[in-house]
Amino acid sequence: MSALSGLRLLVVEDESHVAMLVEDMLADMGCEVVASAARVSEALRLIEATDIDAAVLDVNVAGEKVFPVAEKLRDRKIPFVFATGYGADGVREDFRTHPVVPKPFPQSQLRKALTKAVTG
Amino acid sequence: MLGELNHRVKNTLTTVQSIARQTLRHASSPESFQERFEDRLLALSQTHNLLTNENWERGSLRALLRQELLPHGAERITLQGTQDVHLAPRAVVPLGMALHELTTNAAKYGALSTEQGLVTVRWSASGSGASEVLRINWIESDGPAVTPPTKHSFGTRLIERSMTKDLQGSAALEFDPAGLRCVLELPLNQL
Repeated sequence: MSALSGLRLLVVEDESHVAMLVEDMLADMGCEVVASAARVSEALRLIEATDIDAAVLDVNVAGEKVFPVAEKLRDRKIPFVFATGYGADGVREDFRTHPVVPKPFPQSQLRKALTKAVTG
Repeated sequence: MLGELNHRVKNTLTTVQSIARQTLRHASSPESFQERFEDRLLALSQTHNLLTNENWERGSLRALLRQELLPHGAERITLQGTQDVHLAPRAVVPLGMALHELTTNAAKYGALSTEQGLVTVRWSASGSGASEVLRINWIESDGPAVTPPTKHSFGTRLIERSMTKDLQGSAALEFDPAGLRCVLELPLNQL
């Protein structure tokens, strides 16, 4: 059993192709994707309504930055990683301690980043 | 400028990675993987051509439909819209890829798989302001009798998901025996 199996995940990503890729990878890792949002407002709502253990966040979501979502997760002590085409430079300074997976990425890299996020 | 270009390239590569993975997952043989993968890659490339022609500022719905459908024979395709719709760049790829999946499905199993089959696409906008909605009606006719698929294909999953999530609208597929119908309803403020 890995640190990731059975984890309940939130995915925030505005492009379905990419969201389906991330969700398939997470399923292969034994995670359960319980919430998927393509807008910041939707993600904020889902965090309130759903019991989640960790999250994978795109940075630029339909023209909006994902940081309000990251703030809410941080407040609730829910671990998360960023997956972004901007790389670490696209992440706001106060979130730079969180793992960043630069797009495109292999499954092993997402697994490593997520493991780091949840095991601290 | 360079940063934005880099971001766009990285996102596109991730889309290609996803297409490869999903196509592989649903492929019955290496040959079918190659055929479907190249076909989807070409469709993605064509949506980019369309955007490049318009300086990456917008894309035309009519041009998107013509690009996908006309290679199957102009005489079998009817495009009816009161006026053209200009799509924002971020809407062109999901809509283009959804229309591509519908076209591929029609060519493999539907109206475009026979000599006589026809595809009609009608579109119109209704409502006003923030509630203005673009409705696209895809209607196949004179093709083979349609039977509902036994499993949810990647194409169907992608169409429903990208219209609901990426464009905050809806997609309804109806497997009418007389021909597949699909209604896409998309808020214009997302396009």
